[in-house]
Amino acid sequence: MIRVEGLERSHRTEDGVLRVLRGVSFSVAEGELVALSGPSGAGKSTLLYVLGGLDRGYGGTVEVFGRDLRRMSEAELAAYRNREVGFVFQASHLVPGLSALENVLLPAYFGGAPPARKRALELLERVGLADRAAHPPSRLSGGEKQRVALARALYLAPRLLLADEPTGALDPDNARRIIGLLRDLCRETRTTAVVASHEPEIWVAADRHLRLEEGRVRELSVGEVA
Amino acid sequence: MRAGSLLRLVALGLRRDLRGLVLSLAGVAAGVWALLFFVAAGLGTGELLRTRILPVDATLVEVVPPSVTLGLFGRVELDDRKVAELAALEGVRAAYRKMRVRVPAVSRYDGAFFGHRLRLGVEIVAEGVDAGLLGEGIEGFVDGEGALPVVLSPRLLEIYNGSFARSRGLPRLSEKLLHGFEFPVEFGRSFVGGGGAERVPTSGRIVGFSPQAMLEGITVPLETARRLNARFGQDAQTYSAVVLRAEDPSRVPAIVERVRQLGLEVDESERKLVRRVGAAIALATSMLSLLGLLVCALASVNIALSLGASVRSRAVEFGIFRAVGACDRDLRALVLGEALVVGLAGGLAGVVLARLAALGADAAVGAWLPPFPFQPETFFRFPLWLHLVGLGLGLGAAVLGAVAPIRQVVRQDPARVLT
Repeated sequence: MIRVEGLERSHRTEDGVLRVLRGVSFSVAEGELVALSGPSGAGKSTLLYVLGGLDRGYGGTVEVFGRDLRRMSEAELAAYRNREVGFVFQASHLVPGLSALENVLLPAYFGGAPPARKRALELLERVGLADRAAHPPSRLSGGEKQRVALARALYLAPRLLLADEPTGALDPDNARRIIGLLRDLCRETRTTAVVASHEPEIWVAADRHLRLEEGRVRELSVGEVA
Repeated sequence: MRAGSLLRLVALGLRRDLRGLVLSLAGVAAGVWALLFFVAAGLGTGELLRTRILPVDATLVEVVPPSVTLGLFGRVELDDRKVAELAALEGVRAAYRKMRVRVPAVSRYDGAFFGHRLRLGVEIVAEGVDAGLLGEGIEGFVDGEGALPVVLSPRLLEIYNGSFARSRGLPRLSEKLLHGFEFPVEFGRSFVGGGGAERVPTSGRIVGFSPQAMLEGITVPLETARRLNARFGQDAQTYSAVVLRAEDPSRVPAIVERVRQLGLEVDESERKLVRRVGAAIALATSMLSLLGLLVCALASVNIALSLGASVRSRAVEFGIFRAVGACDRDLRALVLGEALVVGLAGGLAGVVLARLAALGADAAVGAWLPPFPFQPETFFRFPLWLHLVGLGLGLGAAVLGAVAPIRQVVRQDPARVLT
């Protein structure tokens, strides 16, 4: 369901052109939870943004659910991000000014269907924040924000969840809780997930472990530390 | 994107930069206020000029004998034959004759005047006209024995009430009050010379008011003027003017053309004066309105800067919107929506401010200036279209101001701002 062939991505920097991804190839089957590791700057985030249709300046082929992302129009990519992809970022990136519930409902604001408060409340309950639904992000702890972000990512029941260091800014207890939720929710809903993380717990929980180094990817056995 | 969601996110965006919102809104309001205030003042004073100070009936053409005659056949006179010729012109519904009383006259009043004592001597100019020119509702306007039936211009009464009565401590009068009022008139006499040996003392009796009556004197029946001119040995055959009433205003240019071909002239002095004063008002209004437009242009720049800064500071927020499914059109709608709210609110505030300022200006004139002739209740006119122009201007300034921020938000790279 995800097929990446010869993926190249470069960024212009002050020192010249930096080749972040250098012919990355891999595939992910439906329902798999894939851990992605690698040193900082290895291109993990770039890879996730390419898979999520947020970055189009790449070379090579990226097919998700049988569709070549490069061939999709701007509007089609937006619909793809809205209905088929859920993002979780390192910084929870909740919208200030909106309550936790409204943040979970945010994907509905850009979709065709009216916001389903019941579904959003169920998700908040699932992540243990039903009593915080009316709270703005400023009144939530780091772990709570990340759980709201996870609920938002899953609100429209996406087929693909992309998480970029979802526990990077959390203490060990909260990190463990997020990892558990992520794993359980993906298993329950058979959601395919690619999770970039430095956390060995994720590597252990994942079905597969890919490591990005010097712009290339290699597969490690589950639980293996690079 | 659904309308409800758009409104929610627009409101959220506006709340994020309240200071910028207030400044942008105030800028638009100031521009719309200035434009509407001055245009309404121009419309109001223009209407005052056209309807009360110098009312001009667009269907009337005043024909006068030529002031200079260069032909071999002598001066073209306005006699009955010529009047018949004019009345027969295509597009002319009626022709009304006017004849000046060609002898001097004075009025010497010494007696009670509506509860006051009045002693006054004035030169009188009189003109005879066909009764039809004065319109309906004037009874007793026929030459006969006794007091001369006199019709006055309402503008003359306005000037009396607005300045003469005030300066002389006399009462303000109405048309109804003056109806039937009699005053002495002596023909053949003048305070400034030109009087003869024969004098005809009589009296005038006000029988009505008409906008077509002469402003600077009294209007009497045509036959009265003819009789007086004949009695004093003056020309009682030719007319000083003939007023043609066209079937409709569109026929007037052709009638004027034919009149000139007959060797006669058209008295356009009042029409020209209206045009000249009207043009001066329009010019002043335009200059002041430009000021309003300039303020609106500055408001538009202000919106562009303020909204641009807001969009830059919310780059992550727009990145999140992208990540959860916003397309270019959604982001454009969000930024444009914020600008339109500013434009609409600013436009509305500008309209309200202009109306309040007009009320204030009218109240200030009433409170601080002494009454003057033709003083209207308001110097401003606010037709519906002007309100719509104000709102449109606010929205226009907002749309122009949103162009650059919209380009900015669409060009933002979500992958960069979210990392």
